[in-house]
Amino acid sequence: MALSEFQRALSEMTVAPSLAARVRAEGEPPLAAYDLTARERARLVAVAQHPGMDLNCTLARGNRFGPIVDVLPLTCTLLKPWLRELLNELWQNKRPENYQLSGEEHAFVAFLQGKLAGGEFSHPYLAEVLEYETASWALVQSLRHTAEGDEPPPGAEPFRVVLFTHDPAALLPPLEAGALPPDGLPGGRYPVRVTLRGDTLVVEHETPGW
Amino acid sequence: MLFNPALADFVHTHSASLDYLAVIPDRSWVDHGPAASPRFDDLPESVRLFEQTALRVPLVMHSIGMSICSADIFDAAYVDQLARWRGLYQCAWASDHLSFSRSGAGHESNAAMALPSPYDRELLDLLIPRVDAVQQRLGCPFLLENNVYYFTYPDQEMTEAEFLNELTARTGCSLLLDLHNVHTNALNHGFDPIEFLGSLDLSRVLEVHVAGGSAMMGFHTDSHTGPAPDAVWDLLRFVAPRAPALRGVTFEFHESSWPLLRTAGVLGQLDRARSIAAQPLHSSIWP
Ligand SMILES: [Fe+2]
Repeated sequence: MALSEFQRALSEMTVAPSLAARVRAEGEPPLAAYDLTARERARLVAVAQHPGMDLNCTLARGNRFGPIVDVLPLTCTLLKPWLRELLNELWQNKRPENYQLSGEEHAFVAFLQGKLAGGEFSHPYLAEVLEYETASWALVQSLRHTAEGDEPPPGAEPFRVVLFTHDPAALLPPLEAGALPPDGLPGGRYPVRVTLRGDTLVVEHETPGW
Repeated sequence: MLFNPALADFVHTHSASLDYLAVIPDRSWVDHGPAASPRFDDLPESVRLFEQTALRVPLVMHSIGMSICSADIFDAAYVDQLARWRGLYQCAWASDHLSFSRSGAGHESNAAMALPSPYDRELLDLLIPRVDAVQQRLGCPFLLENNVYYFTYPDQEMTEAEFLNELTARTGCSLLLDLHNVHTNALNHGFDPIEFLGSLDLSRVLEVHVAGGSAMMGFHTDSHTGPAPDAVWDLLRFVAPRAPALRGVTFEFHESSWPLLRTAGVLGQLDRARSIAAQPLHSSIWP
């Protein structure tokens, strides 16, 4: 059905701005993979040339970024100087698969973990900040799926332990304020326990004063 | 008012100020996709909130996942899920968007935003049986919302107003007239919003959306930022006396605007809507 091909092409132009850019520059040839009528091809070229298409691409990126920054605000702050390029690389081949845009955050976590494991990207604080946020998120998710009356009794609340290798008292507060932490924090072992009490995450650390 | 997560306390404390509450049901479940079984997992925390709210305020549904203009997807199981919700909370009506975001039946992909499809006969022929089926399954008035669009298609067979008029006339469905969308389109594409509204069959309007927006990349966008601008209230002043079936005016804002609005700001928007709609809407929410 031609309309379905037209919609598939428009959707692809929206989430893959490189296609929109090629159609803008070259006209119809980049659309050859879609089974389109002449009118549909002409419409897609006109749309690609309309400044509103740029805005659409930006809004779609913002929508995809929403679930990522909701779950990983500190990681996103830490990665601010590289974030745009990292997302470009991830999204080059990865399309949103559902209307709730669920899975965008999983995909970003897996992408960063892969980069770290393969040594393609290194940052002294990234692994521990990412682990801290994914652990906190897993706890919050468990709450979202808990029925009333099924809450664990005091002392039996779910928790995760995250091992920081830099002092979280120096690392996390700047990130929570939306700023980059200082470079060159000394290394060490800082186990942090994150517990879900009621609907609050309680973070406890062995270091005095934190 | 359209519920967002920043409003949990407000809804609890100020339910008496609300004639009804519009909710996005899709935010209360996880949809594992058409192939999954069970497909939908309700989120107990949100369900609890809606159960409690529904005891005090009538709920109406404003869903986001139907993608009714998708050429190759008509998701009957999704409509069934809406029908289940409508039954649970006795929603007075249900609405979704006249757009598509889903494409590629089998291996689904999503555009990450609602996209308009050209206003051609082909789309009308696709929609009429779908709208009939949705209305029958839901068992309550079904409304489609007019789009915001940042580009236009050349050579559309019908104007937006012609399309909406024919769709509502032939299916009996109602219109959710988003006045901020009209305002946004008029600003971005340089037309007179009153002329547009004058060409619409306003007798089909059952609900109106009012909202605020913001400037971005040389456009006015439908960002749902802050209060609705005066120009949108002017449009409501035009529409309200000409829309005899109007049963509700809904203020929408994004949760990030809560610090800008707070309780007084939200109550102020509701008061303004009521004063323009001229009569207390509470009595007219139920048929
Ligand atoms: Fe709206």
